Amino acid sequence: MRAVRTVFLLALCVLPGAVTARCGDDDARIAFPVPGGWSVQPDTAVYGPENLWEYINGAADLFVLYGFEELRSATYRTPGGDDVRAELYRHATVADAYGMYSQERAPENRAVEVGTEGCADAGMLNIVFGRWYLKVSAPPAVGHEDLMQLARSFDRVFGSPRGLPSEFGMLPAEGRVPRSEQYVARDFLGYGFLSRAYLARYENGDGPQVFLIRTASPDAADRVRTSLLRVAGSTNAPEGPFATHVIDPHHGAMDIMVRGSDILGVFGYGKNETLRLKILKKLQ
Amino acid sequence: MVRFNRRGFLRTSLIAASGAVLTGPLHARGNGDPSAPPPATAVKHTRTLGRTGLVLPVVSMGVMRSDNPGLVRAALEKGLLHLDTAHGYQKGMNETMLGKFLADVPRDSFVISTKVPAESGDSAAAIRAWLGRVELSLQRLKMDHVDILYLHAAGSKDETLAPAMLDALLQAKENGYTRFLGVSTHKNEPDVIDAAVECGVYDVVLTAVNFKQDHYPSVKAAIGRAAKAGVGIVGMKTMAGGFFDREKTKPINCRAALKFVLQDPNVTTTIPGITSFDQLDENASVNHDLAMTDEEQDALAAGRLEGGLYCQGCEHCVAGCPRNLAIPDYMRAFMYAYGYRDLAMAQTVLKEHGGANDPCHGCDSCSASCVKGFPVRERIADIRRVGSIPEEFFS
Repeated sequence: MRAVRTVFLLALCVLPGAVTARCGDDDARIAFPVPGGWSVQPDTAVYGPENLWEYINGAADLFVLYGFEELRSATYRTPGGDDVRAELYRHATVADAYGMYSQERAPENRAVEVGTEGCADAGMLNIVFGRWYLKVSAPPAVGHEDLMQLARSFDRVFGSPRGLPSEFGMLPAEGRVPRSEQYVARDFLGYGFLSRAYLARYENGDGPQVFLIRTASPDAADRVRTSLLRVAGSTNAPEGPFATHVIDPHHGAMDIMVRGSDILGVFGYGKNETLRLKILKKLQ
Repeated sequence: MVRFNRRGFLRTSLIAASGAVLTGPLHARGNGDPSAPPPATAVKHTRTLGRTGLVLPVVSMGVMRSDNPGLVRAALEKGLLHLDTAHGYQKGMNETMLGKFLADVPRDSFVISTKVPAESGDSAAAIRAWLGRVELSLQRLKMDHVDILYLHAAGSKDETLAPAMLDALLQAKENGYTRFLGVSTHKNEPDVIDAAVECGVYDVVLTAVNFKQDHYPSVKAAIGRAAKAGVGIVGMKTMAGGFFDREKTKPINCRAALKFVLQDPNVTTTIPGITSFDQLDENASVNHDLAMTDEEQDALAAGRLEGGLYCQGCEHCVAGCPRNLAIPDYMRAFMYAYGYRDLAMAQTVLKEHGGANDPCHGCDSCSASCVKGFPVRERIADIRRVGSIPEEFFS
């Protein structure tokens, strides 16, 4: 609990202007829940963006890109006497937490029905609860069901609604590869002018990808579109029946469309024109 | 293992004798057609990585923050043929992405390193577990060996020389999992570098090194000793966080930061994290122009004065304070609160100097100046409020 107090008090006493942002309901109720028969020893150290690298080395850089604010951690002991590590990362927004989680979710991970979304593998659980990202690691002796017991206890604490951030609802549902959704906070496709992108894959594991970028206004959306056309060397590309078709120098053929303040795009279909048109129709 | 793609068009290799690295990857840039071979790119500045004999461009690619194979491809096209990843980045997805992308790239056209963290526990089990992680990394990378395998993040001499890990490293090399062995560090760097040289197992040290390190002279000296012993040096954390200020409003001149580190000829290459094509272009330009301009030197000098939380206790400020306040202690408390988030420690320090009382009360203006540019009065005003937190909150 010391860690909780530390962050809370720092926000309250030292950063009065930041209290609202850093000490919402989430913070007040966060603790490490203890399932029946388990015990827990929270770590005293709490890490922020300045020193996360001390805990996870170079992996910290990516977390910071995804609005990482704070990490607290604990060691649980199972009824069987095995130690299980739990790390709870708080991010600035639900999308940031989901984005970081989606960066670490492997296609072969199995889904778990806890939290906003979660996945599991041998000795590990990764689960998003709103703007919190929980990572659990355990030795082989700890079974999946034991870990799920812990996961459900977190679920009771957070009470997070299940389901993806609402922006993913703007992407076509039909044909979407389950659990292929990603949120990319910055430098989407490697372009500094593309940020806060929601994307998903279609048809199969190597299929085309559809993305959504929300901007502040139709003018801003148009500026982003113009920038995309510029890198493709197609500033005068005509609007096609569905979208503007360009050849991006790094990602190949791509279609872009502006819908109010939103930009929708499709890429990764290669030379498969049938597939391209099929996806574009879904976006109409 | 040497792998060739079906066209076999790429033969960059490591053209040591010429002093230049030619690249020509992988995927056409400019027309989006993956089947077209691109023109080769020559890198002007290359260096040899100690006794490994690897000739690398002075700027390489830290892949840790990128899940974009297009960016890796572009990096290789620009001659950044050394790619650095780690077992833990993106929980293994970083290695997986690289493995998928590099599957069609000639194996002798790039130099890849990965890092595996130490295992604790008894010797045999720790070795087994560590080698298991290495094997998993190779599976993800779809390779039978990497070029450099690092023990990840050693923070002390003891960690660098841990017998089980040295045995594991040697076994990995014997198994053919790697060509060369290394250790990475961003804590107590001089100690780790010296230990790596002393034990003779490590061919390479990957170390944090940047213009903001207060202990840069000792890091540089240790790097010099390593180079003399034939241990190659790769620099990381060269951007020192990327910003001068906590609020991230003052970005560091990345090109200047890279050049600063590379002014030391004992640093063979650097591995800045790259997430965008613009960053790539900026970093890659250093491979062709290493000379620091006056403007770049000024940018680092000015920023160096602003930055950070660490007070080195020189007491220059105290001489300028009419009350002879123990300003370094207040700065230390500030660091405990903001850097380490340890409010109890901050309060303990403050209580030695009047707790929450305002030590500056009655002073109209502040004449205490800090050689690092800390805003002394503002930080004291900020941190003293921690002194008013009731003790029971820390119990």
